[in-house]
Amino acid sequence: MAAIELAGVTKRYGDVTALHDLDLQVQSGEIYGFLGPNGAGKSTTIDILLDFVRPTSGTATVLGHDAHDESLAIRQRIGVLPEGFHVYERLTARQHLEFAIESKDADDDVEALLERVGIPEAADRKAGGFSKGMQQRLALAIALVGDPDLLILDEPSTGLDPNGAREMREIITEEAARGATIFFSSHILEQVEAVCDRVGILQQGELVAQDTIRGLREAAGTGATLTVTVKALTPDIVEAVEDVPGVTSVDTDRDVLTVSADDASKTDILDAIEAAGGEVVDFATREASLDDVFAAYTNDRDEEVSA
Amino acid sequence: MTWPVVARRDLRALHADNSLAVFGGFFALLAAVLAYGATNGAGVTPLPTALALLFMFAVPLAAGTLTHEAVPSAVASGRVRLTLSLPHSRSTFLAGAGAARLTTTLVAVVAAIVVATVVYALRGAPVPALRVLAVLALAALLAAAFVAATLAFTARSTSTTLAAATTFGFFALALFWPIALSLVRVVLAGQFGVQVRLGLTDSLVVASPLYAYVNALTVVGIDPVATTGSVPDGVGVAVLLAWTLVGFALASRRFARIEL
Repeated sequence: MAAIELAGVTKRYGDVTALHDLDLQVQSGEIYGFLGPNGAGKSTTIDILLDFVRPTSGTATVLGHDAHDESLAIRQRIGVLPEGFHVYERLTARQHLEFAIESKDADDDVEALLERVGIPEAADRKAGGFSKGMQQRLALAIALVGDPDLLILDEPSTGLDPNGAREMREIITEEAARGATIFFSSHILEQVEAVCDRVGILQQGELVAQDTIRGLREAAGTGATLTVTVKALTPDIVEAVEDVPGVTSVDTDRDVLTVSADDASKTDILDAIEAAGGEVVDFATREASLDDVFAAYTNDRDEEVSA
Repeated sequence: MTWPVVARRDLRALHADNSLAVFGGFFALLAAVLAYGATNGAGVTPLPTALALLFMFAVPLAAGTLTHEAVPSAVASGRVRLTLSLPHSRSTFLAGAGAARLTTTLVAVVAAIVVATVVYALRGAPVPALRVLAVLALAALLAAAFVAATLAFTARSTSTTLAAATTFGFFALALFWPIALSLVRVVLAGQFGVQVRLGLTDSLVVASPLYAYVNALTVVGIDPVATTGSVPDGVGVAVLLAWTLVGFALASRRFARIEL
């Protein structure tokens, strides 16, 4: 069953189209990473799910409920870390959480929640004095109230230091292990890569790719980078490697070859080096990162648009 | 019905930023000065009349001041997102915000009544408890009308400056409503040749929540401001209720349509 389903969703602000005929499904229990450059429409998508804005056309359902008509039923079962939120400066972290607990008619323990998000000492401090990272942790604690079936996190690692980002990833993984569905947008590709089952890439209001990270790598053809150290590098070796099908570029530095190629070409490259009289001393491969995949999809799209 | 949860949270915030103390203290101070003055001359102004006159000006201004930023500030700052990501409807958010501001105004009203009563009692002036309670009830209605009207005027605004101008502009219009009606009558007659009966414009005076309050006070024998008109005593109660209900309905309708 789909936890989130968008069908043909278009959102226009005047003559600007923020989302264009967006179809998206997030399955129950999965961790879905929502990627895209600034202004791609990620937050607009999340705002539609939360009924903060209404789509110009199309339908959005969350946990089987219509995002607009049954918004209250949805918000009873989800936890949200919204983008652009602001805390009540004069209220303490405890008072914020008590409000959330009361709102959801839940029985969570305030101290346990604050401990979980890493700010147990801040329970009785006014939230106006919190750093951005602490406010983000407080908002995450609010989102966790009531063990939600679905967590919607909009740029959750904003303002967090590396430790905070790691703790955020741990919480996401724990929540998924509990059975919750996680839908989160992020610019931090490393975070997405570390925890997501599937990734969707949004570009100029359109979903340009949606798959597992491995699937996206293969589809984008970003392949791998092979670094080979040979005993003595000759022009024949370089020529032989360049002739291997699937090789897209070859760089040399003394006796080291750096070869970009698709995954299937790796053994062929090593064979070609040896056939050309080279002796392989060492080699290492590096798979394309999500950064590379993201750049491949978003740059390709930019080029298509500018063409 | 989760508006009490929102109202409690907003009340905590109003308490934390000292709004409760500031408005309560200010009302108490005004009441003390007024009560002292009212009992100082040869003829003592009755306590209900003195309080009714104080509340006619202080209650709308306090309710408007407390309420005008509730929506624009929450929307512009993003605080509303934190509330509406929880299971609260938009009208619940408004009702909670309005209830908290109404309660704060009433706390100030009660503080004024307590202080004025003490001053009157200390100076040996009579304290008619029932009529004072009637003034309290009508002041509560007046506060509710201004809270609801302010929410209605500011529900789509994201500018606190514009919200303040609208709120205090509405108070000025409500205060000078009889003059505005007279001007309209003169303009209609002079420019368009339309004759409007004087009785009709006099009756319309009670459409202003301030003069509705004055009209309602006459039911309990208090007439703090001399008015003319042919509207029966007590109609003002219905007008204040209408301002409250229609104001809140309009606020809900307007707030439901904005994109956050």
